Amino acid sequence: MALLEAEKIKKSYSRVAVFDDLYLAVEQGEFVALLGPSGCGKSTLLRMFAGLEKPDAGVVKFRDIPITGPRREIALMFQSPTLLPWKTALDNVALPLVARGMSWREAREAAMRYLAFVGLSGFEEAYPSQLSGGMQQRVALARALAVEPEVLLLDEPFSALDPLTAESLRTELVRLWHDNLTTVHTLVMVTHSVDEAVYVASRVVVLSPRPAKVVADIKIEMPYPRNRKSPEFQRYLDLVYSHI
Amino acid sequence: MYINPRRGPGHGVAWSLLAAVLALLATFARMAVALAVTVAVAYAVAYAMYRSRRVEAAALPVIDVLQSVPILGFFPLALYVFLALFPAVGAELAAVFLIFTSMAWNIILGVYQSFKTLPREYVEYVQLYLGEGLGVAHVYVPVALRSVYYNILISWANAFFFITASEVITLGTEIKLFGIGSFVVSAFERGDYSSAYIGIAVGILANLALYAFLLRRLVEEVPQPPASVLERFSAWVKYGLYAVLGGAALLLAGVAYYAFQTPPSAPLVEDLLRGFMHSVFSAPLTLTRVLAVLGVSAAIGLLVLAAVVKMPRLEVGVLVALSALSSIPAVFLYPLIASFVKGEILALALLFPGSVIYTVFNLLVARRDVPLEFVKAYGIGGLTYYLHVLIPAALPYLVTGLLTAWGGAWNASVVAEPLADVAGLGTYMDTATTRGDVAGLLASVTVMTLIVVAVNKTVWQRLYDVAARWRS
Repeated sequence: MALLEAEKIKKSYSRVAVFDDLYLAVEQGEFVALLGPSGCGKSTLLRMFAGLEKPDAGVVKFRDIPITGPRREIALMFQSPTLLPWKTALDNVALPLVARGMSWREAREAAMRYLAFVGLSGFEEAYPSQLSGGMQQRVALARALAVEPEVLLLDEPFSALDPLTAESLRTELVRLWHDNLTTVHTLVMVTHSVDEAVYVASRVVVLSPRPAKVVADIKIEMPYPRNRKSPEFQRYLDLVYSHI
Repeated sequence: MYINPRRGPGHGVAWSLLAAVLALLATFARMAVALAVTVAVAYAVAYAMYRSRRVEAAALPVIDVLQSVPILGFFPLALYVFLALFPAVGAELAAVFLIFTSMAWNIILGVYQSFKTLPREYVEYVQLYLGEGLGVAHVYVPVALRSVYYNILISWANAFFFITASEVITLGTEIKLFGIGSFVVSAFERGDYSSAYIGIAVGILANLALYAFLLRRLVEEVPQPPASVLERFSAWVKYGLYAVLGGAALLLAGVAYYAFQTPPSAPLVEDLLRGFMHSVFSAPLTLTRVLAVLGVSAAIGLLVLAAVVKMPRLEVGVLVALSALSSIPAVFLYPLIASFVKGEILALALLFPGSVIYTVFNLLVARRDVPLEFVKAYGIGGLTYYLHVLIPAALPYLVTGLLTAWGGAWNASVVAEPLADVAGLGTYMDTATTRGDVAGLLASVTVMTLIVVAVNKTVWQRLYDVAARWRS
């Protein structure tokens, strides 16, 4: 039984078919990178796993249970930080915990730990506008981790950041997944970058233009942390590129 | 209740001042109640419109028409229903309702716009992490606050423009409520000019102080209410529409009941026809005034925009000046203006401030859309700059500003024309109200509303569509 499964899904927007019988399964413990041309439906697929969109036909399942709406076990991190400008970093992380039934005091304590975890100790009382883009995305990461999900879905989380900031966040994300530092054991990330996909993922899935089909499904069997200069890394890059 | 500040020998000024301050407090209290109702209604209605396409499709045209109806058009409704339902406090409630009708529409549409333009990721964030209750409290209500605060500035000024109309409720029989508007009118009627001027001065100073100490801060700092207040308010936002609809149904039922009790007889139909004839013939006079005022406002707005584009540091000064201007009710300036000009010019002068405020406020936003570096790099200047860069860049904002000013100016004519003692649709409506001529009032309100809505739907909407095509 796969952890996440999209079975024979169909989806059209104003008669343009985005998916026509797409099948994809994600196993527990995987770090899957979804690659594909713009508009091929990668984000739509991610949002179906998150319970934000429903397929026109077919079924999306978590542990064999159809996903009908947002689930506690699955968290989503957006391309932009999507923080509330009128709340401090701490309260931005704490608010979803309050929504899950914690008191504000408990929620803030937990939020404090997760902010420290992403390296933002001392910035608890800062408002988003006082933080850099990279720090804001760290707060968003802390917010997604704080709800203690099993699956973390990521929609091009680093594409709006400068290359250096993106690289350090990428490295941290790999570390917290690989070293089992949080409750998250499975990640699905949408990306435009072949290099990023090969650097972070244990499996790269390449989708075709609309209607999207899986054109390549490649296991990346390299140890972490990965070395971009190794010939092996280069071979994987070439392999993935050959399908795009 | 109406307090008559009779002048005793020797202590007239002190008495008048005290009475004026008390009257002002009464007016502000009434306006504050109306504003609170407005904000509550705005959130409930806007959220329902945002959540349901059907509510949206039904509510948008209704709001569009209601915001074009001049305040006097709500008089019969307010007077009959509130006095019949609550004899003791009916007049007060009627006044609050009338003030509400001069405040509500831009605030409702502003909140609705804020919801509609909320980025998709925030909507998904609410779905994933918060759920509806907390989402409304911590995302939807706060995200619309900037627009609410900004619109309070405009609504407060607008309500004050009509303050006399909402405190001196005349429909055949006259009801004067204790307040600064009725205070000034009564003083003038008695020939007690010093009291009248004291009242006017108190009104202007209080509005300036309110702007300086409260409204300006709301707009600049966008303060957030505490979480507990937001969370309690969110239940109202989610379900308040039912209460609003219930209230509206009650009002309409009251009117229907009244109309049923006094069925329209043949003379009323005749009166209505006469009223329509009169309205249609006096409308061109008002139309000419409104167009003149809009034309001048547009020219001034574009010149201000050009100046601010050239020297961005001017923007703060312009904003402060506009806000100060909008906090001084034009009606209260009228004795001052009237001592210089009379008749036609006075009418235009009274219509002008509201119109120029709407136009310039909207045009200032266009500054971002003027591609300054391109203009500099390619040395575009003179007429080419105005015709091919500045005006096209400003057009969407100009249209928005003029659209608001257009409806506002027609409604303002109801106050401005009688004050200036010139003929027109506004004067006719005012006369009909004073005489208790319900047929004439209905006819004139209908004609004015039709003119405003028809031009909104044809001219402004088309211009807006043209401009929207090249606006990103």
